[in-house]
Amino acid sequence: MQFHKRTVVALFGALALSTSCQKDLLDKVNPNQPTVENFWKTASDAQAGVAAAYSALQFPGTYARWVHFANDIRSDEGYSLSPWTDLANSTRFVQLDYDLEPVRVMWEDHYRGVYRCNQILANVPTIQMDATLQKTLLAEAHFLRGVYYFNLVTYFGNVPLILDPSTVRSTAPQGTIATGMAQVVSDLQAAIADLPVSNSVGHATKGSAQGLLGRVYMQQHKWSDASALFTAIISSGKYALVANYLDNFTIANENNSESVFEVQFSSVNQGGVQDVAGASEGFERAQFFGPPGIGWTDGRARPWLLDEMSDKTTTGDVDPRRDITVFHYPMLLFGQTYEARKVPTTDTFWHKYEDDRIQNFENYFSGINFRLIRYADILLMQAEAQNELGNTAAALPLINQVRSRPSVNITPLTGSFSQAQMRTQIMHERVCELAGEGTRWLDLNRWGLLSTQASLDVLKAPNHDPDFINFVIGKSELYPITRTDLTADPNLKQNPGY
Amino acid sequence: MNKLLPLPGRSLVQVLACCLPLAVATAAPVAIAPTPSTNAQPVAPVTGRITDAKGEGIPGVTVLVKGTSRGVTTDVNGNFSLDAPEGAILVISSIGYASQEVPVSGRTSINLTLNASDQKLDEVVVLGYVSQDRQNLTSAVSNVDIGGAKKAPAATITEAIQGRTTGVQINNSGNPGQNPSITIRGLGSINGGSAPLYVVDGLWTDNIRDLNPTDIEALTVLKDASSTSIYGSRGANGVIIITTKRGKAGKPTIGVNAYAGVQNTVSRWKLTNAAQWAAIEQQAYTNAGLPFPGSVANPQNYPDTDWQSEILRTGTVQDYNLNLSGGSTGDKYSTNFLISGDAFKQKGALLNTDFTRYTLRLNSGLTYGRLKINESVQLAHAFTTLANGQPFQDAVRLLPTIPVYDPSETPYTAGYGYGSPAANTFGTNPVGSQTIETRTQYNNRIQGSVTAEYSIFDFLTYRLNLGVESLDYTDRDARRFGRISQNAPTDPSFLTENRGDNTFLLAENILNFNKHFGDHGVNVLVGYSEQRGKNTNASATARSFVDNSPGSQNGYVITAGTGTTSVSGTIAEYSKRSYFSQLVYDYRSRYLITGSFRRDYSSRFAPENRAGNFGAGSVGWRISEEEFFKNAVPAISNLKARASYGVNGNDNLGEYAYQGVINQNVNYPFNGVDVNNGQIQTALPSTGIKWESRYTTDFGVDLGLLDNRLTFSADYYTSTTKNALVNPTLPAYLGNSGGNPFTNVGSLRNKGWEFQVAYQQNRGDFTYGASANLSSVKNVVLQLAQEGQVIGSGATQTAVGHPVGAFYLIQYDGVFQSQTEVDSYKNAAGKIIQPYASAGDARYVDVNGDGQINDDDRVYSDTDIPKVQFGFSANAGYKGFDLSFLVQGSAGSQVFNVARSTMDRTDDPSNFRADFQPWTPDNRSTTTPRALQSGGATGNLQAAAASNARGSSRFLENGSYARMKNISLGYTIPKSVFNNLKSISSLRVYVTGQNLFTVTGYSGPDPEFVNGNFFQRGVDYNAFPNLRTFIGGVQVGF
Repeated sequence: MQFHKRTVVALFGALALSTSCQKDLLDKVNPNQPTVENFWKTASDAQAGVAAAYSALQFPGTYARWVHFANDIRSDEGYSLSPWTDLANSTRFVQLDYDLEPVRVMWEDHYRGVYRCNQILANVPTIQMDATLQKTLLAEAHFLRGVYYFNLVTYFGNVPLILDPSTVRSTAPQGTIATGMAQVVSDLQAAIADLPVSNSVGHATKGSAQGLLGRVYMQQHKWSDASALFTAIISSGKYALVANYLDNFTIANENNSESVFEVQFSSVNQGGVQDVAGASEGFERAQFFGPPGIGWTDGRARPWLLDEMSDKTTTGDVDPRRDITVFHYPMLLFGQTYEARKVPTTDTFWHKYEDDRIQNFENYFSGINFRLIRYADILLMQAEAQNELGNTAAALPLINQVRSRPSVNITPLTGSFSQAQMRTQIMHERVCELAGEGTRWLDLNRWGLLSTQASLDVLKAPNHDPDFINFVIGKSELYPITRTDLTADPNLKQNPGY
Repeated sequence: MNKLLPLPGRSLVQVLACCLPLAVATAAPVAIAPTPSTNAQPVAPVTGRITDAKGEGIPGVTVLVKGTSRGVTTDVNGNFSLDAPEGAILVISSIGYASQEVPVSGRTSINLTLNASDQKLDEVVVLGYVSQDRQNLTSAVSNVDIGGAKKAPAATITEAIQGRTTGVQINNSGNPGQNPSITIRGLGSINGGSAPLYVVDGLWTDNIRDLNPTDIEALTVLKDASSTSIYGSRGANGVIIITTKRGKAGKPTIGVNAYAGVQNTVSRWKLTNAAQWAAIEQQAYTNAGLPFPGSVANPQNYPDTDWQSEILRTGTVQDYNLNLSGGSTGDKYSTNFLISGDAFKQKGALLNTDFTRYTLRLNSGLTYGRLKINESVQLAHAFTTLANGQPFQDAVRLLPTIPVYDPSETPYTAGYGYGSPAANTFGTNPVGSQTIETRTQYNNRIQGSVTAEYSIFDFLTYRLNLGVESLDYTDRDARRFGRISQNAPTDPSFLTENRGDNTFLLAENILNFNKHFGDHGVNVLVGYSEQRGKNTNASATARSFVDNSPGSQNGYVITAGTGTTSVSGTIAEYSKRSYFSQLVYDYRSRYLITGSFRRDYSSRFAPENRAGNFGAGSVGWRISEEEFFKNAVPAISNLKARASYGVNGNDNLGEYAYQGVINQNVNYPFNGVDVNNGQIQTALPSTGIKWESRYTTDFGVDLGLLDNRLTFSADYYTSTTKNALVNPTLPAYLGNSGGNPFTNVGSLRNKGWEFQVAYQQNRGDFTYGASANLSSVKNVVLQLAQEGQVIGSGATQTAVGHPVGAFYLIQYDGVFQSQTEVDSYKNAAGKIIQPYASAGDARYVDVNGDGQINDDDRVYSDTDIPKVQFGFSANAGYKGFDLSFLVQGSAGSQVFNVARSTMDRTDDPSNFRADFQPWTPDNRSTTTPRALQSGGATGNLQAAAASNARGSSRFLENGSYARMKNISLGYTIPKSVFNNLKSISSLRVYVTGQNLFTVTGYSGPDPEFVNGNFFQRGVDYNAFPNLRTFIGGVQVGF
């Protein structure tokens, strides 16, 4: 091997010539996802953004999982014997860890929904697009933000009200229940103004927003405001009870005439993580409430529901809604007997929204849509509003309409009711029709049953819901605000009593 | 300037070398063709004997005819014989002795005395882009005793150097294939990137697990800014420089090293058996006024499973290394080569875990006149089978009354036992999790570099350094259908395959001026470099495999899935451009000054924040070189004082972080069936981020006594990280779904002392020595984003005035012994603080005096960061025998014991410690509350059960420990024993024991563990404990 000066010079020279500096060496653009600057330009961007805002309804902390603990299990309709003691305790009004996952995740996931709505409301108005579509999409965002904040205020009370797209440095003032609900009302009014009576399947309609705002007014005892909205829904002619009561809780016949607003779920994807291609669109409640051997059985139905649902049909049978709502002995548990599954015969479990009608197992991918607002609920709320307004007689036909649904066929009520009698009757009707559908916690609050020790003493009776022995008036109506946020934002104050 | 093509598909050289070489190369005026070789001379035999200072023959000395590959080694008596030309020069060298060159000058007999080299001081230390004699160092730099480390072989070099140097904290575990965690001089960053930079033969890398420790020649730890700032944006967490072995001139040598051994967990929890467990549970249910579940009432009717024994086994470790090396030297050129192949295999002590690694190293070099080229490359193939979930935690959580296998388990057919109403738990069967699912990682990694160096003048050198790292990997996760915990969802069987490749390219152009002007030594260096990285991956999941029989993984390929599928894939690219310069000056090796500067541009930041400047300076004074001192204190052979100050940086936070992006898969099935593609921003970006900078000041002194047989060095340092990239937990109400974004708002400081003392003595056949090191570190956060902001993470909180990840817990205050104590435990206003409690319940401190116990009563406890860590090693040799040991440990750390907090809570199902004795009226414990099941008959019982179960300071323990890290005994068999086997030149056999015993007050299996959560490094989730290993090995030289 012989090296010569010329060789070496040529070698290094060639190196140098072939390796000149690249000017844009340092400009690396993310190839994986478009940058925000290039989004919010077209109508399809706006539509995709709104779909993303709906997507937040499917989070574990929203309708896929944990709200059903807050609504059904925390209320006197349900209870938990979960070996996850902290979870069970949180439904018994015992929560020492303010970052407890199920509660913290509810807080986080609802605000993820809010963040998405805020982006739409800030950016879609700047897009050049069809004006009607633009208005509809903005109204849908208002509706969804109303849903998210309504739940947040219901569960956590004094929540921060963030209404603009977040940045790393954003902070938001802490609201009160009053200011929070005012925001919900404002959003829902904006939604009602621009939502169409009919919309594409799964999207919010004018009726959806009216129904939810009516629910809000009911909680505020604004009976006439609520009633006016219910009247609008009823008179729209768009809604009717489905003949088969069961059609409200199965994967068959979804988005039917009784559906005022549904959270859409699908078993089509079985990926685990949210917001990636192929991620689950599934409803997880069935797995969490499923009976032993099938699901976690983290939430159970209280046995008193069986007694409550013992009205007779015109043919003398027990209210058929009972077995659709609650598993009890000697019903089959997903095709097997209590004995075969070694389950004590006194145990009762939620049957609504379980998949035993189509399969003998559960997982995190149930495709049943959650009916957030049903027309039957609208009718019963209208009955209640009318009764509270003094039109007790007007309540009766509304109740009977629900009782007389063909597949239910409970003997209609007749005669005259005092306002108080009617109030009690409506309480009974709501349990029979709506148990396990997330309205009971609101009902207990609206009826003032959580605000006096006397009514709590009734609730906590051993044969009703002894979990209420831990209920502290002025504290237990709300969950504690998550420690993560109290730590991250020193201006936030914890809810009273925690 | 040429526009370059995008990656990939270009030659490495094209991509990387840039700008500088042209001017340099064309400026080269010197002829480099060597002079023609001289005519052959007559050859004559030369014999002789090489002896040490005491006149004893030294075996194994290389005697080489300079400029040739002709050479021999001395025999056991130090004698040699070879044929050499009359005019030849003999190069005589041996490790531990100063080399000599001797002209033959016609002699036939040459006897020579070699002087033992002053190893510590004569070492050349690789410091960034220059090398320096150790005696002239002005930086805080540790050369790790690789020879000592290799006496106790380990899977990774990180593990091997634990306890052997100051200022380096290494935490290990028994998990096969896991690289230990390592931090140098404390946590310099809050963002989680606190690992040092590794430079292997000039290649920058983060990946050291796949490097074969046997191939390492030297390892240097750069700790202060004056040594690390030349690494600019990557120097903030310290730099570990690794040099691999090269062939030596002379006859080719073959080395064979092999060892094999067994591994076991040193300790495990002592747990209750079924009957003992049920007895405590009965207390818990009785106290709560609740009926007993089946296996609590009648444990004798249920199994009695020892879950820890079910998941543990005797592991094995084996390693086989074969290397061939050699070289030649001549007037014209010299060459060297090394080929080293290694197979390492570890069968984990945990069921179904293992680690296998094959490496092949090819190092070679050529010196030709003024041109010197060195090449170094390692091919590694590593295969790991991972632990699933938290098997050690599940082993203490699962009840003894649950069977491991349950053939009657239906309808999910996996056949594992799990919780039931009679033994009610959601705990996961750990045998099930280790056998129903198989997770493997398969890596093919190339790490290589080529350095070409050309001496333009004797004093001016141009160097081009090209480095490449390439990783191809496949991660597989295959799970059969079936249940391993009570009532769990029946997810379909699945296979996830994640494949990808990571490429890193590095090019450095360096011009080095090095000249002595009388008493002034000057070394100036300027350089330019570019780095590029590209990581791509694609992942697919297929579900519902038809072949679902237990143990069968055959059907598990993606196309065989019959259910729904998911796919994903990402690309991440980054690049860096740097200009740097370094100056080293000395006056008569007495006054020493260094300086360095680096300017980096990183693609990880927005254009306006891309550039960062880093630099350092240091001074040193070799007092022992002063005449007055030599005369005054002759006993002190070396004394040096040094000081340094500088700044370096950190951009270790991933790609594209400053860019806000739209998530294109935020989907919703509007009609309940078809998935509608939603898009929106779901993650908040790290807007406006820039470099994080760490400023370090170091003062040090080095002392040598007794001709440097006794050496001592001490350092004090303080380092402050400013503009720290902090990603505090944001308020969840911002709605962020991504990771927490970074902002440059933090500041934190580390300071500490480091001491090292060593003594080495040789007395004839007897040699002995000892070395001790001690380091302290104190970490404190100086600033976070806004006044009052803290970063909470589980049991820890990071706040100004406290260390990163300080424990922040409600304070446990023993057990109420009577109702009177409960009733009299009031705050100043007279409010009973724990009105729900009864005798036997836990008492907590009402720190804020508001009359209740809640999060506001948490206080900072001490940190997980050890105040002091230490190592002590000693060695002794007599004739062929060598014995050494290393003790290593730390003091002053706290550990939150999650396993104990799980077991000691009685409201929730788990097994118990065998010595767990809850309070009873007859056995009034002052430390352990009464057993109390949740969901009790009254509100007070429910509240008390939850209160007793709190994760409080009750579970915080002292994590101090001292460990007999290893003992090694070796015997070098005298040559006389195997005289018949002429081909063997050396033979050593040895045995070592590692992690033999640990002295600690910690109640868990191991106070040393790895927790990957940066803020919870001190939280022990019942991690994989370190293993006790016994190894026997043999080292053969041919």
